[in-house]
Amino acid sequence: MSHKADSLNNSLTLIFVLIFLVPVVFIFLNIFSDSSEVWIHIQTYLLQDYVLNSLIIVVFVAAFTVIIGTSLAWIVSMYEFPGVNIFKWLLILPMAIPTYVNGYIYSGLNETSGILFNVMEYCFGLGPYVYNLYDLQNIYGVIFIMTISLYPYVYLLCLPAFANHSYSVFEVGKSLGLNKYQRLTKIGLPIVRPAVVAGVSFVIMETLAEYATMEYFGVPTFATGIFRAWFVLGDEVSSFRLSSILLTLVFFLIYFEEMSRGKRKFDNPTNKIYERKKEVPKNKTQLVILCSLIVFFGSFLQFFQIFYWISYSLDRINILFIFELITSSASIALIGAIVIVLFTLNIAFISRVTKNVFTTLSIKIFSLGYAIPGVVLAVGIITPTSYMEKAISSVLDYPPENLLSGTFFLLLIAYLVRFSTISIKTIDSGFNKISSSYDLLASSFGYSKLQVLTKVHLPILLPTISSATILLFVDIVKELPMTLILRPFNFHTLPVHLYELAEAENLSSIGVPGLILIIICLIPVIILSKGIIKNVRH
Amino acid sequence: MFKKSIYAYLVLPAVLATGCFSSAVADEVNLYTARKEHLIRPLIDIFENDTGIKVNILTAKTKVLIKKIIDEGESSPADLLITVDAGNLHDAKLKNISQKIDSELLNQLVPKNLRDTDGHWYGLSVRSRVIMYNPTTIKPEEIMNYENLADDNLAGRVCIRSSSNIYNQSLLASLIFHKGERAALEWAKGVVSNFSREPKGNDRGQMTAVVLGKCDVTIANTYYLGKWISSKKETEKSYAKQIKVLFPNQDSRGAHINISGGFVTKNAKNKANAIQLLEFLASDTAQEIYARKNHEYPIRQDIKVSEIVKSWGYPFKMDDMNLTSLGRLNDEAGKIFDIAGWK
Repeated sequence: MSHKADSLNNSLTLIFVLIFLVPVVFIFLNIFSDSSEVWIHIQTYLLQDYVLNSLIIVVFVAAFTVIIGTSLAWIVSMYEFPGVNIFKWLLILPMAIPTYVNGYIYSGLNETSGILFNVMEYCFGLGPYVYNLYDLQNIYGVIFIMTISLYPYVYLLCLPAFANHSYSVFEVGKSLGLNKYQRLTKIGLPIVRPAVVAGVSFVIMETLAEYATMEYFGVPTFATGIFRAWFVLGDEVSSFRLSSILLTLVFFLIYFEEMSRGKRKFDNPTNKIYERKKEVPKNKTQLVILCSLIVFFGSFLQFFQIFYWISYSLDRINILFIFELITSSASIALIGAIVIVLFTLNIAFISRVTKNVFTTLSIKIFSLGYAIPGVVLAVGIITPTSYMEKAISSVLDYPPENLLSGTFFLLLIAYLVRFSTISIKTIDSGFNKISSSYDLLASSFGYSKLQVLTKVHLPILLPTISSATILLFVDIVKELPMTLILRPFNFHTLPVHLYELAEAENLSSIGVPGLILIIICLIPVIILSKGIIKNVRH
Repeated sequence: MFKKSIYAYLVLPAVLATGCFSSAVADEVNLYTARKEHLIRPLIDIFENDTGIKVNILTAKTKVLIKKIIDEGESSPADLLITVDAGNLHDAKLKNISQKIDSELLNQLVPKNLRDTDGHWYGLSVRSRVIMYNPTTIKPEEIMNYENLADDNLAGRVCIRSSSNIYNQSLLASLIFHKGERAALEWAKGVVSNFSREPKGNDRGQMTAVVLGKCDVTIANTYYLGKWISSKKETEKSYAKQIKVLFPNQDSRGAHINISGGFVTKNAKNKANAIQLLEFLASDTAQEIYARKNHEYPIRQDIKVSEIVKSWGYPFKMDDMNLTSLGRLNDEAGKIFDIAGWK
């Protein structure tokens, strides 16, 4: 490869790295500016709440998701009981329901348009009793909603870990005289440890980044605090300070995850999944009831409520507007997904053809994007952009104009920074699996570098690319805080509409847009789970 | 070759992505609004048809929109902000994002107490924040004035939404204006001690709580009841029959009123169009639709109100303090709420 191309590739990568680093660096730089009056107000009255609430929520959600996720994975992998194969799949379903939608649905259950309220009212005349019975809009409610929405991530990662470790491991344990519980604690849990750590780190990141649910439940955390400092108290410096605390927490978390992953390896040496007879437990019914309960509260109840709302608001549905919501959500998500896939494909390709420390490091940096909470990223993008706009207009000496603010470009940049993580990991590992002998062979046939990419790599990578595109599409479709803050004129997406409906306490209108969003999110869940469950099935 | 192509497939999608969305219309006005789109959409449609001016809309909470305009500075695309509550409008003026406009027509159409004394913002509809109660559990004599809600005999019987809501801030600001800070604080403390639950939900949530027995009395804006009465849902209709409206302080200063209104932004690029839109919204045609659609009150008494609105009693005695003072006392009200422990 020529030096020219090398330096071009390096400078391209540099530009991308800058796009990634600007928001983060900008946020941290602001720590050193003077404390404003607002910051002192936040420190005196609010900071304690943010810290305590965030920590309490994270600790409990992490604990509960681990307990629920691992035990469910253990149960469905180890035991044979009626419906186990259906449960295995149904237990993943909550992944298709965005956390905030779950929050709206659960809050609405005992409201006047709630299914619980109406069933009780219709059957026993007890509607008002149910209405006054409980209130989910507090920190316990948040912990419940986050747990029920996020446990599938731990569960899903534990499934293959349990299943791929051949039955022989457990047989050996049995022959060594370990009883059932010893087999779980001494063999099962150490085996899934890496999966649990990966799953729970993801859960914690999602919990720290969650904005809409916290806001709706009125529980102040870092995410809502950052938003409040910026928009209500009108002080960006305070907002940046809160963001930097949150980011530091998140980066520590990633560091620990990497550390714990690095130490041990739990590969199945033979890489072969043995035919395995599952145990038939004595307490079959209890397992069925347990799984049914979780499936019911994890997804079925939500569907009942959504359909009830749809029937409740049938006369108010504005089909044209719903159609507009779908098209705008789908088009921004599609464009976003394609842009991000092309971008990550580039980076991964560049790092393949120009192997140096810089490109390898850049891949590391891009894979951190997802850790930056949406609210943080949005505020980290707005201000540098407006500085840049001012600078440009003063240099070129023409009246200030919104070059980037409030355009789709900025929104796409935000998506790019946050969601590249998803595709860079898959595509990079996809590239690594392609032996470099292919490249050599192709160039001996006289293929140019680009031809190698398009004619050799792309066909091999196609399945990887398409699954990355689907994942990206869904993550963008349900994205809320960044879209809310950065979107341009006349632009509504499904999540933004849901957020506005919930804010106006018009929960009964959530039915149709909510269901559409869930259906869109179901697509990758089905595809993903098919792959995983197929691998696990014997 | 490689160099060029790599650029092409890198830059192309970004260009495509931004290109296919950006639309340039010569005659347009950019509206930031905190009002729900379905409330203003019918009026915007008429305006667009009549004038050929395209109205671009961005909806969000008022605070968010105000901050956005500040952040965007001179390059802000917003020409006009339409929102609710004089407190918000005054806040925007203080933050130096609105401008004084000279429109004879607007000055003529909008009564003096419903617009800014310096000509920055103009009221576009009137709403009244009143007492609503459950007639089976409470007698109207017990709650004739806002002041009564702090009375001892209402302990555990009052629910009102959070103090972060600007309607409550403005109501308290009116108390500060008429009775002074100390009395306002005493009142807020008294009401808090009468709460049947921590503040949660919006006005409609409080009204539901009254109907379903969580509390006996609340403060709410009248149009929420209008929505219930005109609802197609049997439950909401039946709830509407179980709650009553009381216009407070009819023997003294009158019931607290507020406005929805708008202003032209300081850096508006389409100033003339923005003024034209404001004038249209204050006109007779728009007033009839605007106030009716949301069961609010028009800015001029000569415009007919809807039958539903009339049924609660109209005209009633309105507090005629200049609404600019509400905005001025808003911060004070926020602090008093904090001290009183009103969440």
